[in-house]
Amino acid sequence: MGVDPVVKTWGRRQNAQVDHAQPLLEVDDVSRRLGGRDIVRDISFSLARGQVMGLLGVNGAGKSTTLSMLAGARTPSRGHIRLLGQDLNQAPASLCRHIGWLLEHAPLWPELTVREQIRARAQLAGLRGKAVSQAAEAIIERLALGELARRLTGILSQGQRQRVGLACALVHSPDLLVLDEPGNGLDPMQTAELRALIGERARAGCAVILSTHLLHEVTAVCDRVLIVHQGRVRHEAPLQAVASGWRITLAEAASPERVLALAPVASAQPHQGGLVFEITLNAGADAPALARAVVAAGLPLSGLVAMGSDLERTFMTIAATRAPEAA
Amino acid sequence: MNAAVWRVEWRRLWVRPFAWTLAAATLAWLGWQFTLLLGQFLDNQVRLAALADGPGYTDLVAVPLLAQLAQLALLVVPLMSMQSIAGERRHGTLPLWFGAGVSPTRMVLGKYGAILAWLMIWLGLCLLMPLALSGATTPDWGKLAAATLGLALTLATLAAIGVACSAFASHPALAAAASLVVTLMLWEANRGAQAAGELGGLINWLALPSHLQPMWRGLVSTTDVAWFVIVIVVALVLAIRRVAAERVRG
Repeated sequence: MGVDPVVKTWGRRQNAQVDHAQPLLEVDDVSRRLGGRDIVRDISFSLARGQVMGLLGVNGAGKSTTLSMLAGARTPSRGHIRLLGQDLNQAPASLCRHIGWLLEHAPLWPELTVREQIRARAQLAGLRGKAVSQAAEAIIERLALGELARRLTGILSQGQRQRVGLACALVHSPDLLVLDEPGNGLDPMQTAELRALIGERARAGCAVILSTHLLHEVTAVCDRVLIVHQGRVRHEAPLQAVASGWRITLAEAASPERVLALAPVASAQPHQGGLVFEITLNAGADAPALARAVVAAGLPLSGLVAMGSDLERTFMTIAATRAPEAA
Repeated sequence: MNAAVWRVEWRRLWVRPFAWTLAAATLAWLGWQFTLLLGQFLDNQVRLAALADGPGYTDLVAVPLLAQLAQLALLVVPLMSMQSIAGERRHGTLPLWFGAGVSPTRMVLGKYGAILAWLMIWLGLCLLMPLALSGATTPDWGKLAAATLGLALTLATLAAIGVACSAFASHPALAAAASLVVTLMLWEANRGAQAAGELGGLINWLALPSHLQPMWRGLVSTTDVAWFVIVIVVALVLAIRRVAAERVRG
């Protein structure tokens, strides 16, 4: 019939009203301190049902630590994480059942078969009796793991482990799906299937947080992006707002014509009476070229920031910055 | 203890070939010992029957067999418990428990319960040997029950120590070694004192055999049972605190 078995088994999902306004997850000033150093510092954001948020950052930016706190596996040193209106650290046992978490490299108990592994995770998520078998078989069918179901997880390839890890994260049909590098080891077909699955879960009312190094994955499946650098949130925006552009701030107002006359500038939108301009660059132009042109034209430049530009440019700009204490 | 944790952990123990190989090897050894003890008992049966208050089947076959199992347990229990938490740490699966909302207390107790269940089955299978001849002999049921209780408490204590060592160790082999050292220290703590003729004091109270041997003679006292319970509780609390600290510190 073409009905998604997961959705079929968990009928409440199929009929779930997707309320984008009501936050499912609220993260308020969350920090985690380890060894006298802030690994994550003052992270705040909220996520509604049906939203897919991409979490980006260079290695060591604090992504995995953030995700493990969101999954309830680690406790924040400061701040609060509220899921469904309840503090995750006050009631972790009941709330964690609403979370599906796929860790980077998908750790699995090596002595169990794929089926046993998925059943075990369903039991830990609070399913009982026939519901365990039904949920396990549904997700095995949905992720086409039937051929692997009787194999020991200790002998699986990286891609297979990743798919089993994904099945474990989804088996209890969570409200919040936290995926840490889910594309590790997947071939292009499986990656496409993963994208489809994320979209499907989001349409069913699940909020998804996707951490990845692959920017095209974020643009393909996410509707929001959060860039973390050196433990702090450096950029948060809806993905459609991440358009090509730079914002320059001048010490004295200038006319739009003067700015448009600059070689790298394709378009310039004045704000604040000509003190601020939102600029789109010509092909091949970059921020240093823009800065040089502004200064050469005698305009008193006091600020130049990326308005997101395209996602890659934003990411690269943020990743290239160093915190004052690290400089 | 959380039933789901126990079920998952029991399943993992159940499918581990190591556990059953260990059980088969030790039970084969105990079966051989049982045959030898029984042969000696049968050889001396006529002479023993002539004694007014001579030892019987329970004293010469059943209790010595359980004593053999206690000695094997010094090695078997650390091997069975070494993977419980250190193995999770090594495979990177510890966050799976935390992420499933399993508290450190439920996790440690669930794992302890699964190991204890395996050890009780092991004890039960061993006990079947002397019980198989209970129809043809006249066992001292009180003494046998006391000895079984003592051995069950010993296994429970060793398992708790094993889980605690596993919680603190970074590698299962280190956990097994640490558990063996702690167990041997408890087993041999009063050897020097006894050699010097000292039968009381703290050092004798600390030693495990001081509390087990009375039960092998059929004497069950609350102070002895309390000693086992204290050691079990202390070991499990230490394990829980260590796992909880790991969740906080990461």
